[in-house]
Amino acid sequence: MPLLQYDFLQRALVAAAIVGLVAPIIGVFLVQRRLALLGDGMGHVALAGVGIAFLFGTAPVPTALVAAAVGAVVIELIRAKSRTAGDLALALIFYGGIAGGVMFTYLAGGKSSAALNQYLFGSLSTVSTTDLAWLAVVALVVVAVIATFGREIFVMALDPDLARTQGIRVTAMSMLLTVLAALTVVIGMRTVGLLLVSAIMIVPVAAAQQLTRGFRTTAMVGIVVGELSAVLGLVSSYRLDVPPGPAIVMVALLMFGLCSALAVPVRRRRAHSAASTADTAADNEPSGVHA
Amino acid sequence: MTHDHALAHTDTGAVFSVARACVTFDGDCVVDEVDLTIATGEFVAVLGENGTGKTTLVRAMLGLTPLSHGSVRLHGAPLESFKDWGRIGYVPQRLLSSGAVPTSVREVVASALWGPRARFRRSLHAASVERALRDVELWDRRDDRLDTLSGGQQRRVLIARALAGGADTFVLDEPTAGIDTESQSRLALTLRGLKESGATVVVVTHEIGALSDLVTRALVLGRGEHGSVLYDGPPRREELAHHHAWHHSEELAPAELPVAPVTLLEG
Repeated sequence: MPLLQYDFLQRALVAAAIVGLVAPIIGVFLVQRRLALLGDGMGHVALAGVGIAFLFGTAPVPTALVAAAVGAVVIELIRAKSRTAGDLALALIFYGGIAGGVMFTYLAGGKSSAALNQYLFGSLSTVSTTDLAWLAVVALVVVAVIATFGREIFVMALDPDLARTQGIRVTAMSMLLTVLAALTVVIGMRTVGLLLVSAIMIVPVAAAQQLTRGFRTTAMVGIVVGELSAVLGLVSSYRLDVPPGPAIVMVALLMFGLCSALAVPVRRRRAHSAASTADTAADNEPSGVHA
Repeated sequence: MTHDHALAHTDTGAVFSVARACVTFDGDCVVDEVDLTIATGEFVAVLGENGTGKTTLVRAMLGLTPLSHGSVRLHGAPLESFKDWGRIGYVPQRLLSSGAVPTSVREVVASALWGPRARFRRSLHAASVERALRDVELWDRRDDRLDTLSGGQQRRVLIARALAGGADTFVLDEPTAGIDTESQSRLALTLRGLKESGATVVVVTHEIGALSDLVTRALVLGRGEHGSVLYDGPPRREELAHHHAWHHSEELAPAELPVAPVTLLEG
């Protein structure tokens, strides 16, 4: 594949593959909590981090990481206090994030304003080896935390009251999920870009759930859709000479369409097999005896 | 049918000890001066008309709604320091986020076993889940999406969830509300199984009919002179009718139905 001759493209491809894997894992919990748009807001907050990095000449990835994580904690604290105030506070923080991010970037001057687009919509050429190392470590942390606390986060997302009566620390799990979403946003920052990173968390899950009946299978199919979108999107971004973020999200949306089209025959077949199982069960059940 | 788990947990202390409990919402006293002790093995129906604080009271008894004053002890421990949540099977009317992501019946039931103590236990507790789902006669629907089941079936899944978790103390919020009579009688069977296995059961309901011969104690809530409790005693028909807590139209005859064996499971 001629694409792989270039080191920068290899790095972009690995970075995209990491996003394709991690984003749907977090996305499935966000959709379950009905927080599908949280990733968007976290992207705005991370942008403030990028702006600060430009202004002070620090590395963008770790600075964005800190900004997004701090933003996540603040958002959760406000949400825990009041749902209505939380909604408004979220909006304020998100607008502040994007306004601050753009303002800091322009204040920094030089090439940074030109670089802004790369952070908003992703870039094929800017993933450095150091970036890649950061992404890999953060991705490992996200996966390890989900492997440890994923089940508790699942119960919390299913029903916080039930979670409380199981001794699960609901506020802590909620905080953990928001921080993980913030980390995932930063993982996607380089390739998908901060404006569209939320899409790679949510669209693969939306596609998967057209076909699935369980949470775990939705996550699994979501990862497959996420990986295909990230890799195919990146390749088409190179071929079409467009930023990778929009290309990746368009592929994900196409896969959503494909899964929706597939869902009709899949559901029909399931309904058919359920009906025939019920018939068999009825035939086998001795009359008058409660099975 | 084994009752080992229930017996292992049997202690002489009260399951719930509620002392002078009050819950206020925006200055309105929803639960007022409730004193209540529920012993092991009791089957308590919390009755009362709409808005009398039935659900609020049981939620406060589980720490889900904060008390404005008073105290609750759960299995002898103050609510704030209670740790043995595996003993508690809370069955809400419905799941808060049902249907956002497809969730299978089996996953919902298995999730009862996923607490902090099970964090590193990777086994799926498949046997407990299967037994609980068979107890409520929904094993055949294990791989279906929860939100494709009827309201009554979903209620039974939530009961199976509490069973799979190995609870010996069950709190059910309006388990019979809004479901058809056949589902109600199936629910009554499941609850009878719980009672016979020695569990403590607290049911919020305004339709005692389906549960009339299971209930050992009725608690009627309302706005009385001396607090929320209008009546606390055996479920005598005339007393409950006096408080509008006996609905003839809802009456079923669970005694005539076959008993489904329900087993309390190892946690």
